[in-house]
Amino acid sequence: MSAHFRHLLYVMRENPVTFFSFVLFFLLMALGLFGPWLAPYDPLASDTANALRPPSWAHPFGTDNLGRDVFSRVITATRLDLAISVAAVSLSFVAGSAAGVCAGYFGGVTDKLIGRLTDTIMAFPLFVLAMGIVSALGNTIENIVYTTAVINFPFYARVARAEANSRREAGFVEAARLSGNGHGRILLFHMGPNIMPPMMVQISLNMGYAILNAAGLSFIGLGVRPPTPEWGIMVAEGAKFIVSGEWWLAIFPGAALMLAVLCFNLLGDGLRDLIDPRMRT
Amino acid sequence: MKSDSLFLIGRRLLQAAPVVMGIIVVTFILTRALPGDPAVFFAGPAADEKSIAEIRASLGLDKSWPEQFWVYLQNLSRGDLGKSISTGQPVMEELATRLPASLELTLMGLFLAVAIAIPLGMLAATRPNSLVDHLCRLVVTIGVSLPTFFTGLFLVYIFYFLLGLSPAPLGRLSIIHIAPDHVTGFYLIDSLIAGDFEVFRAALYQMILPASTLAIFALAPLARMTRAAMLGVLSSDFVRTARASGLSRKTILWVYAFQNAILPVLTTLGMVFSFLLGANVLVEKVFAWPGIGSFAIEALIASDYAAVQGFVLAMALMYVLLNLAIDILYTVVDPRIGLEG
Amino acid sequence: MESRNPLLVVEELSLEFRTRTGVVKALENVSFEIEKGQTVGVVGESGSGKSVMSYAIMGISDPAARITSGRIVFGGISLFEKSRQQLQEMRGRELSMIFQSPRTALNPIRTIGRQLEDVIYRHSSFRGRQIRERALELLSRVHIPDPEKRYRAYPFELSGGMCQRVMIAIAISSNPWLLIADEPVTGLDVTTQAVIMDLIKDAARERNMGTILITHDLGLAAEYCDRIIVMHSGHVVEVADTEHLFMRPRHPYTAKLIGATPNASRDLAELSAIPGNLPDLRAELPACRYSERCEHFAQDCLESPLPRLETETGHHVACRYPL
Repeated sequence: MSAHFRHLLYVMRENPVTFFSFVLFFLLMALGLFGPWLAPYDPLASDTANALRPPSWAHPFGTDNLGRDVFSRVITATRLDLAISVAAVSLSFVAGSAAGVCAGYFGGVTDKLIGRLTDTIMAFPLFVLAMGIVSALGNTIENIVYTTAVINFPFYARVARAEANSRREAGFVEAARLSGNGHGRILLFHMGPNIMPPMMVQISLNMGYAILNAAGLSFIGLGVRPPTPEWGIMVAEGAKFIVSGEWWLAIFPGAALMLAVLCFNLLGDGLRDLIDPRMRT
Repeated sequence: MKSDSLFLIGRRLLQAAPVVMGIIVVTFILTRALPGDPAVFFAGPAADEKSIAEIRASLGLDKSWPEQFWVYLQNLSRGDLGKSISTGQPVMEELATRLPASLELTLMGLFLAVAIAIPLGMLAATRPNSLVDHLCRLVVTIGVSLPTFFTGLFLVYIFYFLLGLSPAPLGRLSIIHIAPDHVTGFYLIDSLIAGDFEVFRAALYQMILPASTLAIFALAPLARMTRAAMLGVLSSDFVRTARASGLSRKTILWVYAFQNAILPVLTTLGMVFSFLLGANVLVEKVFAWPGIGSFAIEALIASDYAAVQGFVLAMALMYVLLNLAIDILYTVVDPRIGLEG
Repeated sequence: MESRNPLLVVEELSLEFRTRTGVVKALENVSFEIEKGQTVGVVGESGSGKSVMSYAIMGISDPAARITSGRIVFGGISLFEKSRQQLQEMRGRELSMIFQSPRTALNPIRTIGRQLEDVIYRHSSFRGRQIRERALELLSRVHIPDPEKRYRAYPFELSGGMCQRVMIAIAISSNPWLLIADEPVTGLDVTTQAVIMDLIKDAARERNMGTILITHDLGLAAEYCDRIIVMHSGHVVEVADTEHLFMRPRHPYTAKLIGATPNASRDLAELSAIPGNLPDLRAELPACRYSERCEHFAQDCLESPLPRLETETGHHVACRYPL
């Protein structure tokens, strides 16, 4: 374990970018957990006397058209944005690993069916498919989560399938089979833990995309409704003020969104280098 | 050789059939998985049981699912995607009139991205650890993290509000210009056909910002792949042979390295196009671009299901077509392709 | 006595790679000569610097490589004084090289005819139809059956042996003075090996071309080479005429190498593997880089400079206590 830790430290020192992404990650987590207490103002309290004020000491990110504090809204939104994408990614991780492992382990018809399913999902431009699913299921936050999970499902299923497939003849699987374990136990206790590292890389690489996707959906008016603070919808609301020069309404939540996505992308790259240096590009 | 290629192309076309079928099934399921009863929705709030039943029958919703699917297929084959409830027009017509605007923008974005990403990736690969290489890495990392709608708004703020270089982000042409006669639906081409350079210039100006927004988004994966592929090829055995044979740097770079490196980039291009079709919707909203993306957003907000599903279907088919085109191009470029599979 | 005018002189050549983990001293004070028409074998384990040295002669070293001292004189002219452009024009015309794994050494998406034409176009005054005729002539010269048809083939459609013939055709297309063959038959089956080696030998004899044969197979070197250079960890440890070297190896490493080579007349049990590994070239190294593995090791073997003796005419050895 300490060897792993030392390796981690080494990677951090060698790669300041990964270190930066770790710092950003903990900052995001802190904002997600404690955001509502850290925000200096009530994110929903309007103050029309102070509407559309540019950034100042009292309002570091300025105020919006209703006089709400943009800084407080950006901070409070962290929780909702992360929650949507974490929930979606967890769902597609669980469903994708289960389907992928089964496909790789059993092969045959199971493999064909699951392969056909992932191929069909991938045949759509994913954001467009997401729009279609939300329209069919109904315009709610839960459905945004399900939709984001569906369009990310193939990524997990494919990685899990490849990993399981390469291990189905491996010694430890064979040993488990001979000692009388059923398929269920083998998949859960022997296959599962072994495919975790590549799946973790996939999660961190995928997380940024999930955040972008969910924010994109709320930007076009799906899911989250105003006045709930959420980055995508805040950018959408601020968009109409850009042309008259009130940039802070849209730029700050947009920048927060960008930093969050950047953080997970860098983290994913770093994690991939850590686990499998050969995949480096 | 020639007939081999034709055979391979034919096989690719056949392989696309189940994919298209899958797309049709999914869009059918999406149409039928509506929450609640579409008949109630279409009948309006004042309808009674009887009129709801009539509407259900007229929509064919009283039939079994296989029957409904059969009807759906028949309608599709006639190009009938149903009627948009918000405009009252056939969805097919609505999409057809708006498609050129979206395509023109998407293709322009893709063109810009390719035109920047490939030279950038190549320069980065031929000069490792140089300034260009670091620039390339920066572009690649930041590029994939930028939300398209954010980039768009940022560009509008800089180039329209601050610098005043760009026209207002309001559609394909400012109101003082009149759209050229419809030939292809692409304003840039139609205006040239009409010989109206003033309109051409105006249309181009309107397009620069939204197309750049798309390009910035598509740039990253393309540059990343070009760089990686080029690095791989440059350290390959056959480039070493070419160098040992004294071939000129130009020949090695363009004929030997580039032609091999472009193959994985082509594959990435398909994925990038998928992203672009999605990003296009967001960019159309930011720039009030009258394409099928804007149409779909309005339809989504108005719960205009037929319109949304028609849009999803159209986009998916376009994506399949592009992937087919890429596959065929691949078959032509790479002689090894016939051996596998 | 006639004045000696060697084709290639490598003089005190040192080369290092700057890597992130340190400076790798890949070649140190490497010296040898090749006469016109002579075939010289370079033998040693993988990692001994054979390929690095040949890339340095060709001027196609990795960008991370730095030549820190020495000269390479080819045809009386120092190569390091040539411009990049001049070197490029010499490659493939005066100096040629063929590689191992010929199937990956050819461009996978270009027909072999086009690849051959590229080189002919570059180095000759042939144009138009002449290029094609010359290419076909070269293909039949290397005994490729049905050259008209093979001309349009891609490398993946040909066997390894066929690809190596194409490589030879490319290499000899401009009648070079020197051919470097880097493990040309490794990975080919035994019959093909003999055919390819004979092809190289004939091509060399016809043109009075000097040949450097890089191989880890002593038997192959013994069969085809006039002289043999033994390399170990970036040092030339012994140079001698083939017969001399096998009759009386003076360096302990050469003796071990000969002992490790299977021979029809010898029992397998007699074969001795060479103990130890190649030293880490990034570390501080002793004067004799073989000392760590040597059975005749003495304390003063570590002291610089490494003595280089000429035990008899033309037999050089870099060892304090030659056998």
